[in-house]
Amino acid sequence: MRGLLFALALLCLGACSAAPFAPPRLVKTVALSASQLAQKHWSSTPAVYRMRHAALLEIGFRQIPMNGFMELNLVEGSARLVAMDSMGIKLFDLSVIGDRVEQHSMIPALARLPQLKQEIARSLRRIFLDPGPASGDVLETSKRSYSTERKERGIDLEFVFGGPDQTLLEKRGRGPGENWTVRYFDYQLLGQRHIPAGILLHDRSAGYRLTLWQQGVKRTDE
Amino acid sequence: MKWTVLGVLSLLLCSVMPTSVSAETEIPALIEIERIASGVKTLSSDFVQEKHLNMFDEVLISKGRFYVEKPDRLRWEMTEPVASGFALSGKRGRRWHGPSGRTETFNINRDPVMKLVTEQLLAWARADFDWLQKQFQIQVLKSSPVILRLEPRDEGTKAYLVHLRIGFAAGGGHVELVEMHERGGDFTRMIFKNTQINPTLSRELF
Repeated sequence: MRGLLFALALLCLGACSAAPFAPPRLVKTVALSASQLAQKHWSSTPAVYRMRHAALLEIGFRQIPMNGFMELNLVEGSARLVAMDSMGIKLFDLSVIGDRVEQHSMIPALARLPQLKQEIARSLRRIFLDPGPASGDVLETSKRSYSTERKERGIDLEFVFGGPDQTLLEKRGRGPGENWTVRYFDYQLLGQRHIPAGILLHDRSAGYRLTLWQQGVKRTDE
Repeated sequence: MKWTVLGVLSLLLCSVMPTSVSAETEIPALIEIERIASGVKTLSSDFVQEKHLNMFDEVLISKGRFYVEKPDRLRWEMTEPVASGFALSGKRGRRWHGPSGRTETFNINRDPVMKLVTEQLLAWARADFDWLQKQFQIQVLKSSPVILRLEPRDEGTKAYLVHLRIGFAAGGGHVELVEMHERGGDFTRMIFKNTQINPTLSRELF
């Protein structure tokens, strides 16, 4: 029994540690439709951003720090990500366009890992591209947050909004072979849009956690 | 990746390791560097790291500080834009990641990557230029101050790395510039500034 508890405690150390960002400040909700909430989401506006992130990938007890530079094209629904280690060595350079992923480069040590390319692409899509809140989602408004839901390709999707600007706080996907959450923190104003400075993706099915700290963002299509 | 990181560290470390030269490695410029470096016991240096991304026409700047004490102490510390790094002392070390506030210790006997670091340190403590020349084709571009061009011999490495360019300070006492040129035109440039030779280094650094 003690062994089981110890194992669970160890697992929790790797998988259940708290987000390294301040929790969002929730305020009283107002009357908004699912469509209005979806349109408030920053990635619903066609724009091209360049973003620099510090990242920490946690797989079990392994912690892998990285730095990323990404061009996010919300006009085309694509992203190109270059990930580097702390000494500037390029680990991989990938583009995600819709359901396709294109590998521009990857160091041999990573290229040997099966499914890594697809897993990176999946993470990119979930965090920045797809799925996103939609105007047809079913809305439930509570005292201090909004939740919209829909089922897509057998997956239950949920989007939680809140705070003074009704920003997207969380995305969840649950279904056969999928159990993941993306949480967005510390929104900062860039032009007319609030952009999250902290992001946490926890994919329980795949067994990893990815935390992103935004180090810089600029819009390049204006 | 492992060889690249270690190779760069090793090249930096060659300034602080006692040296000897075998018959096979008698490149005059290297011999002179070895001679000067033999009196160096500790070294500290600030560095600026520029990542030139060809595709995006962007340069990403990072800054940090680097410390070495022979034979087996090393600290690589990034300060901007993200505080992170690692320190190694003998068989024990620690890594930290500022944004998450996480620090973890490691023992090289249980960490294959760090074990490799130590092995490289020891190899360089023996001034194993034979090893370096097995990994790279070395060309002396300039003899004063010394600038070297190192092309990887391994086919797997060649697939993503074209060459390294290493520039030594006037006098040859330490490395001033490291460039890693990748396939596709991207490159990383590390510029070492405010280098101090034989400073007193606090044990707490490691």
